[in-house]
Amino acid sequence: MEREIAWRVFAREYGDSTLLLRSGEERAPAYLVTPTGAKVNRIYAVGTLVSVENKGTEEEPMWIARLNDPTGFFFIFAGQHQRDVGAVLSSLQPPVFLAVTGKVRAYTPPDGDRMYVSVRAEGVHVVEGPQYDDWILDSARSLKERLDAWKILSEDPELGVEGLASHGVGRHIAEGVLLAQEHYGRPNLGWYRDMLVSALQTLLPEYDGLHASHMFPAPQEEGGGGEEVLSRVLEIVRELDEGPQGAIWEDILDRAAESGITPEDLEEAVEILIDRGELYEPVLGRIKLV
Amino acid sequence: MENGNEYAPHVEEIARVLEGVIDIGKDELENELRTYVEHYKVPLYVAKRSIVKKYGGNERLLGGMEWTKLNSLMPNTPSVNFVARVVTANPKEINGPDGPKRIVYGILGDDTATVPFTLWEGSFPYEKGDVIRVRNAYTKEWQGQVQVNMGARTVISPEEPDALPPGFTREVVEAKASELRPGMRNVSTTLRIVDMEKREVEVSGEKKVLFTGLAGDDTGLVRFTSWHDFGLKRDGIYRITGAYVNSWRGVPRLTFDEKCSCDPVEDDSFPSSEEIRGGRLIGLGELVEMGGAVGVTIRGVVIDIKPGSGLISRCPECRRVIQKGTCMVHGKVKGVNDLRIKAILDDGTGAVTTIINRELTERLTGKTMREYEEEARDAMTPEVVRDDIVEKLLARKLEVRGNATSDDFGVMLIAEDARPAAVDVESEARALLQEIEGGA
Repeated sequence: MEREIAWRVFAREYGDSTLLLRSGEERAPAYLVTPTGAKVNRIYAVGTLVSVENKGTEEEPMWIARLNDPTGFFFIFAGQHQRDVGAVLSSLQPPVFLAVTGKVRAYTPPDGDRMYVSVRAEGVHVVEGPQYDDWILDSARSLKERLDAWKILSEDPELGVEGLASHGVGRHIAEGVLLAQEHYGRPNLGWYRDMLVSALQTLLPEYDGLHASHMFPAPQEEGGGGEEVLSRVLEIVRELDEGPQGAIWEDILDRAAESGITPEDLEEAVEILIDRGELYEPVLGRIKLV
Repeated sequence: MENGNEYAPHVEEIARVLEGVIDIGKDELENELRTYVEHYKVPLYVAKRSIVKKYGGNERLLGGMEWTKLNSLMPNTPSVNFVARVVTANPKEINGPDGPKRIVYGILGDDTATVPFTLWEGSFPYEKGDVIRVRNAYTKEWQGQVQVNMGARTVISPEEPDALPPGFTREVVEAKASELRPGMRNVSTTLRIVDMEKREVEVSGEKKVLFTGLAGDDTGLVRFTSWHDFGLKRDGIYRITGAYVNSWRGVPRLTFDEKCSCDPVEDDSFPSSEEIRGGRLIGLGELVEMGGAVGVTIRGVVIDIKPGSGLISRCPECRRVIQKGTCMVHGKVKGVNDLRIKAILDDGTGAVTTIINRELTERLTGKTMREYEEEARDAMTPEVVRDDIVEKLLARKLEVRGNATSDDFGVMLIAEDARPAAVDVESEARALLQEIEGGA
């Protein structure tokens, strides 16, 4: 049995994955194939731990931690079978730099069609800044290797694993890239290239202040991400809600855009907040705090 | 192929896959393929798959299929496709788990090499001289040689006798030290002997002298065995031709005898023995694929520190690790303390187990074994030693030089040197960025 490679993949690409390969055999490993073709069973992620919550009970804990990297968030999971890891996570005070090794974990709600991807932690270890930077570099290099493979594949889409290998593409990459091609078609490679560039820029002093995560907001569908938008929207309305008529919708829209919130997300957030009874619409085009 | 039109080879391939599945003319297939590609602008490989699927064929038998020459077969490949001539084929009865079973074993050849094969499932209505097309066979390594296996998923079909040139002329393979792979034959290479010893062995009751050691070039080191006295000298450079490569525990071994030639070469620009010994940096994916190597340098992050790391106790007789003062072989003994680390190093392309000895462990942790012994005594458990090692080394990147071998648990590297890897993140990031933006 060869040990599974610990892939270095950026959070955003990991979270964008929708292809899970699970063979029928018991105890056979499951693989997540990312849009650019990393075929991941084990992952090694380093980032800034930003939150840790126990979403289970005291007896049956289910720790969910969020780890930020230059592109988004990893969701780190430690349940009953990862009690040691859970114990470490629960003792940590965010923010800290954290290294995580873990296995792919994917969940599709019974009535949903979207797959939620997280990492079932095998081990976590507090690290320092240089290890985070080193991880970003390794992840960037890994992504670049895959993008290079796509470039070769775009010139000759009929190349198989051997064909790619003869162009110098490692087998572990070639296989995943072909699987990705079959499932995702041709992913938005320009987008992942830009993400890669932004991530690398975080390592260089001349780009100081231009943090990639501003350009690549984390997906907002799952758990905390959505809550973050909601609380930001609430804050914006609070700031703008001056007269008796409430805040003007256009002003909210502008302020939201400055915070990296799209009009669609803003509308959804306001709807949720109205449902929750935190906001109301006194007249059309005005929003007020309850 | 009847005509030279661009669709012809693809139509042939589709027809081959659909053979026995459906009776359909090649003209019809070609029309259909044209419609997909020219009218619907579907990529050729998608069109081929769609057509095969539509007629109930197995589309995995096409698309990206590579037809490999036998000399480039690698061991442990899950799916290989090739055209070969049957050199020998012998049926044999074996006792399988479900009772007696008929298999066929023999030798296949093409214009580049010959390989042994075994057919485990199905019939083999071919004989010596027949040319066959084999899809979805797999390879293993047996006694240092690549072996082709054909199972339930393998598809064999007959080919015209002239699909292969007659005979088995063997291509000469020119290779550098790091390119040598088990199963390669007729190898030519130029190497410097870095280390050598003369040994006497008994082969079928006959005393033979052989010379074994390490040889290398600018790409790395390889083990060698010479079954003939060519007058090899340490530090000498030799041009070796007609050699073959076998392996032991995954480590390739260049082997040559009196049928080969081995001549001294003068070359002042050839790397010195010291330079060759320094070890080249090799990716872990490449190392795992090779299965083993001598004198390589690797870099990887310590992603796990295994139990059995830290303070351990060894048998004073045989150096085996002992538990509770009892050696497997020598019974109750007074154990001798030792310090070591069993770490998993992973660089994102491969993972290896690395064994780090006492001296290197002391250097990496900055603590001596005596200090660790004291800490363990104070804490009344040796666990504190492992905890300290984890604290200091987990998630760190190390650079390790040593020899790697493989077994059922993967590749293991015994460290001769280990140090924290020096990575200049900023300049490497800048170089990578330039490469990306320059290549856009």
